[in-house]
Amino acid sequence: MAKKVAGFIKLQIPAGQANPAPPVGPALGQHSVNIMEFCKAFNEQTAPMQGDIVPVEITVYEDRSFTFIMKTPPAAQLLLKAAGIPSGSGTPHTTKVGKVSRDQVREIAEKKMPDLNAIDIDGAMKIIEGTARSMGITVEG
Amino acid sequence: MPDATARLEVAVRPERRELVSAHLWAAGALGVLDGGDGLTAWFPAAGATAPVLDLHSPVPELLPTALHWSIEADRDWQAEWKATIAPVDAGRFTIVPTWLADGHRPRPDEETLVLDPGRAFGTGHHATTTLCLELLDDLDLGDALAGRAVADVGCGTGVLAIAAARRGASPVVGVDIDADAVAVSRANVAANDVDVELAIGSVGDLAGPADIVCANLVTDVVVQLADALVAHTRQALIVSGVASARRDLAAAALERAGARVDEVRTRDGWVALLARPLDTPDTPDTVEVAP
Repeated sequence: MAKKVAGFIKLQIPAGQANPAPPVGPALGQHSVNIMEFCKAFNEQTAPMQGDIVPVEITVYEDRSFTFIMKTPPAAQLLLKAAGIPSGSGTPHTTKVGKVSRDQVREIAEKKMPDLNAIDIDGAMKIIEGTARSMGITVEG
Repeated sequence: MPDATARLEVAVRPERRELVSAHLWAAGALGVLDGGDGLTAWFPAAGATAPVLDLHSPVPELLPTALHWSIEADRDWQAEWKATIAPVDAGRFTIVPTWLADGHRPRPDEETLVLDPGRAFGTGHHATTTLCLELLDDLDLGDALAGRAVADVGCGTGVLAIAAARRGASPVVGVDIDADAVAVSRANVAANDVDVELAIGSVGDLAGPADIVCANLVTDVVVQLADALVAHTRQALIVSGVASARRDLAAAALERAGARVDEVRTRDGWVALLARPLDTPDTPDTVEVAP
């Protein structure tokens, strides 16, 4: 029988670094979840992804048990990494802050494919290119 | 860990959240929560003043007038969860949280352990802990733990060391690289009136090998420490904290280190392994686990 859902939490946490301090503490504490159990499970499963920001979606049930699924790192994060810049542009149409190659876009699109509403890799690349444009990152090639 | 963190709330339309969160990370966020009208991010705070965000080129959502800061005082985030905890049974052991100890009525033959989970792992409610306790309980058939040296590597709350000491193991040592965990263990050892020597450190800091070694860690650390764990084990090594999907990784590391994996127990997506060093003679003196 399906358990009744009591809460749904979307968090971004650095891989392998969840601890009971914010953001995990305040986000999960109010749902009476065993924060340590979440931290241990999250850190265990994200250990191979060190250096990535991991979006995680946590479903809390009425009995205070929980499940979580991890998403691919945000496209914006991957684009910044690929372009080698710390942050995007606030005025992306006029100020360009970096560039990525088409191959890099393809690589990111492949990585993000499971979480994108794209029919094929070309569609996924278009979505990533759109994100790049909105950050003031130029796609070359 | 800072005494307080600064909490920043900003309104962001759903389709802009990924982009804005990238800016928040670039500005040094500790984490980002996506929900309600926008994003909440936490930043390290010095005292009671909100930090100044270092935004190279702020997006409209992050202009200074759009930022709502508050100070998030550090507190026991587990408090709400604590209120929900009931005693848990693992083999003959029953773990009772300190705040319920007064009203607890033990089963016949029960070995009651009173624990304050504090901020360290090992409330006993986690499968990784109950699996260890059950393996330990099996090893204790015929009071076999009595007089044996036990070491608990990554002792957390000290639950495994305390359980072993309660069953007569001696000497019992617990080590953890986390000073907070050692402090919590120390309080729990005192509360349970057992003799356990505690120290900050890892398997390499043990004075010598023990008959039984418990290591409820995570897979990566198990793999990294496999050689030392096996080298410090005379008879039985209990390894836990391994996600089911990574079981082979842990088992292979133990085998490479010269141990034989005798038993694997699975619960809730976690496995615990019982391994024995290969050069242990199979004499009647060896602790045996019942089938």
